Amino acid sequence: MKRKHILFYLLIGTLLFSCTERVDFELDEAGEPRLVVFGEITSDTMAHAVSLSKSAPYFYNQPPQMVSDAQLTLFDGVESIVLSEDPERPGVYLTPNDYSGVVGRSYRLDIAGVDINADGEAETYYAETEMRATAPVHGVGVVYNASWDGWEVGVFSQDPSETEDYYLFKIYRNGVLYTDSIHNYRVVDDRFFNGNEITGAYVQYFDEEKDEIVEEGDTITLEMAGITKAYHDFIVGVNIETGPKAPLFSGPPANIPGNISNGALGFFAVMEVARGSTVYNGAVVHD
Amino acid sequence: MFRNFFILAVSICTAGSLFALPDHDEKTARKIISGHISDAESGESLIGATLLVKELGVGTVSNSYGFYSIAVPAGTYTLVSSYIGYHDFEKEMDLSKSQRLEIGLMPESEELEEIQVLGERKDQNITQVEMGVEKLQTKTIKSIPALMGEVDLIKAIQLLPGVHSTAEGGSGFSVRGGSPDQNLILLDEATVYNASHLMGFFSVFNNDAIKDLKLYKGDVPAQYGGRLASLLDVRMKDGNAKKFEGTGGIGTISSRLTLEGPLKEDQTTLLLSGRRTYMDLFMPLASEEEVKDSRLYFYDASLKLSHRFNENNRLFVSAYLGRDVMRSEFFQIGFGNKTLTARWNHIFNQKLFMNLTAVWSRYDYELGTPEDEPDSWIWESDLEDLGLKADFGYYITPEHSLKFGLQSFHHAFNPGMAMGVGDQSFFGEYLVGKNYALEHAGYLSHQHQLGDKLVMKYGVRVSLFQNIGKGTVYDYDDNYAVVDSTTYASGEVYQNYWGVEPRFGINYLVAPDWSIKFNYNRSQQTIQQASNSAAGSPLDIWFPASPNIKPQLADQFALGVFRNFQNDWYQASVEVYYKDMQNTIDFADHADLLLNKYLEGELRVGDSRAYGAEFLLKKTEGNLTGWLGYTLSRTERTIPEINNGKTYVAPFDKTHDISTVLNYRLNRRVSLSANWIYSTGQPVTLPVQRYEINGTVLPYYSERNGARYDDYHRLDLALTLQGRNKRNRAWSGEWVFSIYNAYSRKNTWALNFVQDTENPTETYAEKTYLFPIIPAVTYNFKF
Repeated sequence: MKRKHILFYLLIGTLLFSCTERVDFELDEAGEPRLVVFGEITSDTMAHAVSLSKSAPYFYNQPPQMVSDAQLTLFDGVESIVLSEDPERPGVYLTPNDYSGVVGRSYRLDIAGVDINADGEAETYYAETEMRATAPVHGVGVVYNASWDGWEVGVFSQDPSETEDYYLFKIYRNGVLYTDSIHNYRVVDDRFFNGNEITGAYVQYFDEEKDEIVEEGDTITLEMAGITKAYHDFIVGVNIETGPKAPLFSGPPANIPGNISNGALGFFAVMEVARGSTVYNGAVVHD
Repeated sequence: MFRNFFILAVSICTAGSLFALPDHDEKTARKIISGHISDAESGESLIGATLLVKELGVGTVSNSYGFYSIAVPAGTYTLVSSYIGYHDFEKEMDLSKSQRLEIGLMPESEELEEIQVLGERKDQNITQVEMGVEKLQTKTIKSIPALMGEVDLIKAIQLLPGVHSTAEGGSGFSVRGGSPDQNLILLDEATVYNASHLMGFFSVFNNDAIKDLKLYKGDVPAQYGGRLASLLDVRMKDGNAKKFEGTGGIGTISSRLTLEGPLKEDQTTLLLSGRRTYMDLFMPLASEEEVKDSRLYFYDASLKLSHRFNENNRLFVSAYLGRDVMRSEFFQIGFGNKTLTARWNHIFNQKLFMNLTAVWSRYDYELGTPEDEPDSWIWESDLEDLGLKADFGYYITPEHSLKFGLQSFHHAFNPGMAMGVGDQSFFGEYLVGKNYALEHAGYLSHQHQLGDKLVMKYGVRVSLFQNIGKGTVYDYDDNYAVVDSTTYASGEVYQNYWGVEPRFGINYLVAPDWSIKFNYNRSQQTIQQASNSAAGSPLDIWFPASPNIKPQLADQFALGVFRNFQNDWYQASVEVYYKDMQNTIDFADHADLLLNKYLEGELRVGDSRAYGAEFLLKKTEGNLTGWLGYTLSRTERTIPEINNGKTYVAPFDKTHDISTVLNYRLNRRVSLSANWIYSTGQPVTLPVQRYEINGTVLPYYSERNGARYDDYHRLDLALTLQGRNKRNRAWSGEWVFSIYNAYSRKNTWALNFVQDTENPTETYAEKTYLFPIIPAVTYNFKF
C-alpha cells in the first residue's frame, strides 16, 4: 500500500516531461482460447455466482463470449453442491440461495462439460482454496482529501498478531457496490501493522476526477474480507497489470497468477466478510 | 574486521620490505629511469602517458598516479614522453646510473594546434595489451551535446560501442548486454552504488572535478573484481599545483563551480567542486499551493587534497557527497552517495611503487510522510562499505612488470526499515534485517613482453566472500515459501565463497600500425541489486550472496583487431566477444523487492550468455574529430522458472546499436558537435490475449520479451562559442547552445495497454515518450 504511494510520487517527477500517444501495434498470433473463471463465495447467505467465459485475441474489442452448459460442483469438505446456470445470464452459475461459506473449511470447485479449444472433447478444470477469517470492522471514516481531490475511506479494526493476514476492501455508496470492477479492489497484507489496532487508515477511495462523487448524507459502507495469500497476489497482479507501467520501477509484465487448473485463467475465492457503515458529514482535510 | 586489517597491514609491510631490498642494478648494468608524468601548467598527474626509449624501441606507461619506471642497459638515450592533447617531451639522457626524471608535458593550446602539421604517434591502442577498454577525456565529454546542457560522463560512455543506455535519458548503462548492477563504478577507488541523480536523468559526476575515466568492458585488471560486466574507473583531478584557478558554469538547470590551487606550491593542492540544480528556486513563484511548498533539487560536492611529502611519498584525500531531495506537502524523499578515500603513494625504490588505500562509501535513502496522520510512516535503507587496499607495481625490466596486492572490505547492508511515526500511526515497525559481509582478495598479474611483437599479460585474482553475523537466513521450500530460519551471532562467519579468477591477455603486433589481441577473463559477482525495471529507481537495494544465493560467474573471451591509418589519425578496431554466465539472477513474476524480509524467495536463478561484435572508427586529430561505432550483439537468459524455461532475450539486449559522435572546429572560437544514435528497440513483453473479469480487461502474455519497441534514434546538436581570449586577462568564457533530440523523435519510454473508459470493451496501446526537442544554454567560464 505504502509502496504504491511512493512509486506514484516518483512517477510525478518524471511525468512532468512526458507525453502519451495512441499507437497501433501488431501483436503475435493469439493461440487457442482459454477458459476464464471468476467467483467469490463469502460468509453471506445468498446465491453466490461463478462466471465462465473465454479469452480472446487481445484487440478483440467485444464483450467476452460466455461459456454455457457447464457442470459446476462445489465441495467444502462436508457437503457437495451443484451450481446451476442463471437463465437470465448465460455463463453465470449460482449456488442455492441459502448457501454460505464457513471459516476454516477447504473448498474445491470442479468444472466439467466445456470444450474451450473446440476439439470435440470436453475438458475438466478445478480450483482449490480455503476460507480465512477477517478482522472486525469497528468503524469507518470518510473524508475528502483536497490535496488529491477524492474521498478517502478509512477503517477502524484490530489485526490479530498470531497470523499473517490478507484483507480485501470494497466500498458501497448508499448500498450500491462502487468498486464493482476488479481493478478497483484494494488488498493489503499485515506486514507493516501485524497485531496492531488500525485507527482509521485509509484503504479505499472515491476519485473525484473520475466522477466518483460522494455527497454529504451519503451512507458509505466498507466491506473488509479475510482472503488467502493466493487471492491477495492475484489482486496485486490485477492492479499491476491494469496500472500504468514506467521503466523506473515496473518489472516486466507477467501473467496474473490464478488458481484454476489446466491452463485456465481467473480465480475462485472464498472469504469471510465484515462490514461497517458511516454517513458522510462533509469532512475535508488538507484544504 | 580489525583482525583482517591487521593481517593485511602485516602482509603489506612484509611484501614491501621483500621488494625493497637493495638494487642490484649497479652490478647487472641495468639502469632505471623513473618519476612522474604530469601537466606542466597545472602539475596534474597524467594517467596512461607513455615514455619511449627511442633507441631501444621499448617503453612504459604511467600508472593511475602518473608514476612510471623503466629499467634499461646503461647508455645514452633519447626519451620521448607523449600524451593525447599534449606536446611531446623529448630529452636526451645519459643513463650511466639510475635517475629520477619528473616530466611535465605542455598542453596543446588552441593557437598552436593550427600550425601543427602532424601529431606524433598516438598508437597506444595498438601497442597496449589491454582490449575492450575505452578511455574518454573530459575535454571530449564536454564537447558532446548533453541533455539540458548538463555535461555527463555516463551519457558519453553510452555512446561507445558495446555500451548503451538502459532507458531513454537515463544514466543507467548496460555493457555488452549486462545489467546496470554488473558495472563497478569507482570514484577515486570508492564504489558509487547509485550513479544517478533525479530519477536517473543525470549522473552524479561533475565533469569539472574529473581528470580521467576509463571503462573496461571485459579485460578488467586483476586488481579489480566483484562485477561481471565492466569497471568504470573515474579519477578526480588532484587540483592545480602551480596556481589558483576556477572553472564553472551556469546552465539551464544547474550551476557549478570548481576552485583549485596550491596551498603550498608544488606540495599541497586543494580542489573543491560543487553543483546544485535550481529549478526548485522558482517553485515559490508557482500559483498552485502544492507546487509552492514543494522542493525538488540535487547537489553534489567534492573535495580533493593532495600532499607531496617528498619525491617518494604522496598523500591524496578525496571526498564526495551527493544528495537528491524531493519534498512535497505530504511526502518527502532524500537519497545520495557519500565516499571518502585516503591514499598514500609510496615509492620503495625506483622499481617498486605502492599505493595504500583506505576507503569508505555509503549510499542511503530515507522517505516518509508528515507526522500525526493515522498512516504516517518513515522508511530508511543504507549500504556502507569500509575497505583497505594495498596495490603494488613492480617494474622489473621493460619486458617484465608485476602488479600485485591485497584488499579487504567490510559491507554492512540495511535493506530497509519502515515504521509508523507519531502517536496516531497504526503502522508498527518492520525491519527487513541488517546483514554483513567481508570480501577479501589477493591478486598477482604479470605483464611480459616477448620480443618486440608479442606482449602477454596473465594473472589471477583469488577472492573470499564471507557472510558474517549478526544476520538471519531464511530457508525456502521448492515453492519459495519460507519454512525455517537461522540467526547467527555477531561476528560469526556462516558462509564462505572462494573465487579463483584467471585473467589472461595477449597482443601480437603484426605491423607497427596493426595488432591482434585476445583475452580471457573470469569474474565473480557477490553483491547485486534487486531491480527488475529498465531504468531502476533510487529505492532499489543491493543484496549480497548468501547461503541461498551463489555468486554470479562470468567467463569472457574476446578477440580483436586494431589498426591505425594515416599516422594514427584514424583508429579502427573490431572486437568480438563471447560471455558465458552462471547463476544469473532474475526475478519472480510481479516480484516484491522492496521492504521484504523474504527477498531471496523472489529470485529465480539460471544461466545467461552474451555475444557480439563491436566496430569502431575513430578520428583523433584535425578539425574534425569523433567516432563511429556499431555493435551487433545478443544477450539471452535461460531460467527454468521464467518463460516456461525457454530461453529469452535479456532486458538490455539490443541487436543493432550505432553511435556517431562528431566534433568539427570551424575556427579558433567556434565548434559544432553532433551525435546521432540508432538502436533496435528494447525488448518488451506484449499481450496476445485478453480476458475479462467483472468488466476489467486483463492481458494474457505468451512470451517474455518476445517483441520490441520501435527502433530508437535521436540526433543531438551543440554549438560552442568561445569568448575572445585576451592574453592579459585571466577570465575566459564560452557559450554552449545545445539541442537534445533535434528532430523530436518520439522514442518509446513506456508502453501501456489501456482499457478505454468511455467504451470499456475496447483496449488500445499507448506509448509514453519523454523529451521532445529540448534546447539548452550553458555558459562556462574559467579564471
